[in-house]
This record gives sequence, C-alpha cells and structure tokens, in this order.
Amino acid sequence: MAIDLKAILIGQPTETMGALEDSKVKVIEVADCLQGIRGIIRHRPDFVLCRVELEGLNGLSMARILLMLKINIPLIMTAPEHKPAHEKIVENLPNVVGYWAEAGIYYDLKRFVEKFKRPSSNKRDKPQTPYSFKFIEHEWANLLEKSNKKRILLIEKDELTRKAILTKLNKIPGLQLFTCQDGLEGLLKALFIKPNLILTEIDIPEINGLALAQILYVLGKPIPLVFVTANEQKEVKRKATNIEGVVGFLHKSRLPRRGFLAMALAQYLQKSERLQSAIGESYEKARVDNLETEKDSII
Amino acid sequence: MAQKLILLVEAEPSIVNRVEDCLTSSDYDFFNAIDGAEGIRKVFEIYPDLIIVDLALPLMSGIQLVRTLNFLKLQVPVIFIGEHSEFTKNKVKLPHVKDTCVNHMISEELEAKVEAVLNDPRGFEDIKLELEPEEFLGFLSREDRKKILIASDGPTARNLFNQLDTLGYYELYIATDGREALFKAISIQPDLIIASTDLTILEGKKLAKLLYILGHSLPLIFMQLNQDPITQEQLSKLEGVVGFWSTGQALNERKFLFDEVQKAVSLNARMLKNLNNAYKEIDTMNLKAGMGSNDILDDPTLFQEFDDVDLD
Repeated sequence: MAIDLKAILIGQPTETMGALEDSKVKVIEVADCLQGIRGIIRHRPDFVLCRVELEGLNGLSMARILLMLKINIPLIMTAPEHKPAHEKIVENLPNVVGYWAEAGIYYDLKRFVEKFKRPSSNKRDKPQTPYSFKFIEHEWANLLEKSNKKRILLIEKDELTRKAILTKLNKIPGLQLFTCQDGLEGLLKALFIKPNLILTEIDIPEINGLALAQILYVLGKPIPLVFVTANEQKEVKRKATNIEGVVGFLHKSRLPRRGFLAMALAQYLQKSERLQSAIGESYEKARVDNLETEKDSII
Repeated sequence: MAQKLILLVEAEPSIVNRVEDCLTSSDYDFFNAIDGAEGIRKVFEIYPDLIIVDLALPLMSGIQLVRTLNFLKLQVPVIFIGEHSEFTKNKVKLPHVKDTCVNHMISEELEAKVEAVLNDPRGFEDIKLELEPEEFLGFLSREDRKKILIASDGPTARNLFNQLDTLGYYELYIATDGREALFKAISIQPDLIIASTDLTILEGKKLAKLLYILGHSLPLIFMQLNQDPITQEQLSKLEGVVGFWSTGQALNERKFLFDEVQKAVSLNARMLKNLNNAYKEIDTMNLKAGMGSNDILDDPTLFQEFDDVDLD
C-alpha cells in the first residue's frame, strides 16, 4: 500500500523539489526556519529538509528548538558543501538523521524516501510519548478555576528565593501563581498555561532565560517576560532588552522593599497587555537572533 | 504564621454565625458559601486550608461536595458539621474528612478541632496532565483554528479525530474517558466538545454539570448510540448543550459530520460569549433555574459513582 508522505523544505535547491515530486511526496516549501518551525507544528510532516545556513534562525538552532519541544520529526540538514564544524554539531542532535551536500541530493533523497516508505520504518506507527505537565495542588486549583485573574509563571532555580518571591506574590490579590525550576519545564508549562507574564532569571538550568524568550517568540507565543536579575553583565542585559516580549528587569536587591513587587508587577502587567497586541502584528516580519551561542546551555 | 483560609459551606445563617463566633483568632481568614456548587467554585477561587461543610446542604449534599472535590483531585482537609441525626444516617467514610462536629457542640468543640486539623501536616501530591504529541502541536500552532475536543471511547474518538483531521482546519483533541474530557476541556477551552453520553468514569451528563458548576460552560454536542428522547430532554436543559447526534451517523456519514461540526462551531462563537456573560451573574437562584430544580444537582445518585473512581 502506498503511504502518503509529507515533507517540509526550508531553503532548498530545486533538485530537492524534483526528487520529492518524482517520489510522490507532498511538499510544502518555506523560505526560512522561522516559517519552518511554524509549518512543522502546523502540518506535522513526515520529514524535513533544511539548509544549515540561513538568514535569521539557522537550521541547527531550529533542530535544537524542536528537540526541546520534543518534536521528533526527522530532519535532514543540507549545505552547498560539507563543513566539519557542522558535522560535529549534527552528531549531538538526535533528531537530525542526515547531513548531505546539496550536489548529490537528488539520489540521496530518492534512496531516503524509498527506505522511509517501507512499512517497518514508518514513524507514524510508533507509539509516541505524551507530553506530561506536572502541577502542585494549588496550581491545579488555579487551572480549573474560572476567573479573570492574571496568571504569573515564576521560573527560579533556587528554592529559597523562589519561596521568598512567592510569599510576596501571594499577598497581591488577583493573581494565579505557577512555578517551576528550569527553563525547559518553564517553556512547556508556559506554552500550556499561557500566563500573562513570566518572571524568570536569566541564568536558569536547561534553557537559559534569553533562549526561552526567543523560543517563545519563534513559536509565535511571545508571552511578556520580566527578568529577575542579580549581577548580570551589561552585554547580557543589552541582548535581553533586544528580544521582543521582554518588558523589564527586576533587580533582586530591590525585592525586599515593601510594596515594591506589587507596584512593579502592576506596571509590567499593564505594559504586557499593550505589548501583546503589538507583538501580534510584528510577528510575521520577525527576525531572530542566532541561537547558536546558546548551544552549551541548550543541549 | 501565615494566615489560614477557612471556607465554610453552610446555608443556615444561625450556624454560620455560630461557627464565625468560635473562630475568632486573627490567624484565620473566613469565607462562606451557601450551597455545594458555590462551595466548589469558592474552593478553586480561594484555595482554602480547610473546608467546614454542612452534611445537609441544599441542592448538592456535603458528601457530594467532598466526593466532587476528591474527583477533581483536591485533597483539602474537611470537617463535617450537621445535626446528630444526619451523622447517624450518613455513615460514609470519605478521604480527607478529618473530623466531625455536631451543630450543638460547635461553640464548645469546633475551635479545638479546627486547630488540630490545621496543625496536622497534610499531604500534597503533584497532579499530572498529559497531552498526546499531536495535541500539543495543535496547542502550539497559532490560534486561528477552531478547537474541538472529542470525548468518546477510544475507537470512536479516534475515528472522528481522523475524519476531521483530513479537513486540516480544526485543532483536534481527544479524551477517552469523562475525567480526561473534563480536565482537557478546562485547560484547552475548546470551541466545541463532542461527547458520548456514556463516557466511562464520568458520564456525559455529569461532565456537562461539572463544567457548569466550575463555571466553564463550553458548547457541547452529545452523541448517543441509540437516540433516546427522555435523556435528550434532560440533557438539553443543561447549560452549553447545543445538539445531539447519533453516534452511527457521525461515524459513517462524512458529510453529516463535516456540516454539523461547521455549523456548531460558527454558531458557538456567539453563544460562548453569551454564556460567559451569563456566568458572571450566576448566583444560586440562577443555578437552580438553569438546571431544573428537581433534576440536576438534586439527584442523589449524581455523585455517588465518584466513589468508585480511582482517586490516585
């Protein structure tokens, strides 16, 4: 029985298209990785071909983001010619199944599709692990409650600081509080609960705060975000300011001041409401900083 | 010590006063709800440290209330109050009910009992919710598609999912039992729920009621294998119910399925807005009127089955 295959091509030469058409694979073509990610989420293709070096978000960063989101769709990276540097990175990305030079792509691809079409390798039949979201009881109550309260997600690795901030937040009426301890959990939880505001440190485990903000943006879910800072370098702060969705910085040393957090939060919530509609408009034209620099913290 | 929140669910003003009078400590922040449905909603709103519940509440009994909370996976400790006769009548053992107090002993005993329960460290368990990968991808995509939750036994749900998926313009979610349907409905807020009346764990009727009690009246179409006018009449009184299908027709007639879904979804955008507005004005009277006084919450068997439910 013939299986209908669907593929997304990102920045590919015409040979790729030809090979897939000859192999009767449905093709969706997009120009860059930003649209690529959104296309993958929307169309759930069987595999993806992507050029490594592209304007804006590059192919390897896209592979990392997909990996973090546990979207395990096979990716084939292509380049006009092999680069050893790429090969090294590709080795660490389990969702990248091939790294090909574009010169011989027609035959490589035909072979790949043949193999893919064999029933034994049909990925769709394999059971996939579900996404699991964990909530403490109070968060669960928040989740089931029908309300107009503002949802705040606090990402903070240090338990004492987390509790201290929570105690302060608890005294502010009209909030629903959610917490987690690292960036990866934070990313998935944020996507699920859609908070009005994220409070996070920049230096958090798994995915750092900057990458988190960028990924949310790439996904078209630019949840307004406030960085809780201590003594970050100017350079880091400058970078953070440039990411869409970042509405401000809270310095830890100011938190103990009475009434400070409540007032700051009210301002940020107001600002984020305005921002959220504005971001919606700018989103299509988005360009994203290269996530390459984050690779150590991301994987 | 942080202030402790106490919710009293009691309709009788004199008892409310009595309870309030004996819990005067400034360590307590005191809230009152006058029936079971309001009680449940308040529990989610204020998330109390302790609930004091009258056994004999109007509409939904104290026992039903506690069962419902357990079903919804909350482990907030409970103290039952009531007349002596009610305690002898209702000898059920429920999880998380820590103590009891008869009405005429409230002034003498309740304060100590409250203090003891609050001082007793209670257990907290994390609650897990799972989404299938394709559901999560739907969740991530831009919100320009209508969301539909299909709640039925596995094969039926999967069949409808696959049929509707071919259209490509709905974001689809699946639940194979009533509890999963409830939790997914609330966290996803779909534009339409298509549910079998005979869902396991929490049947369709109860699903609609619980959604209503919790304030999430979402548009709902029921499917029945054999169309039964009596059940349909009962169900159509429930807030949010917008239609009935025969399961066979939905499964076998593609055109029927596609047309009906499209109709329901476009109709519901407006209705949902109305429902949400209506919810803001909900009070007990509304609740009674909306649900039919001798029907929904009065039904003593309503929450009994929650007992059999695995409460892990």
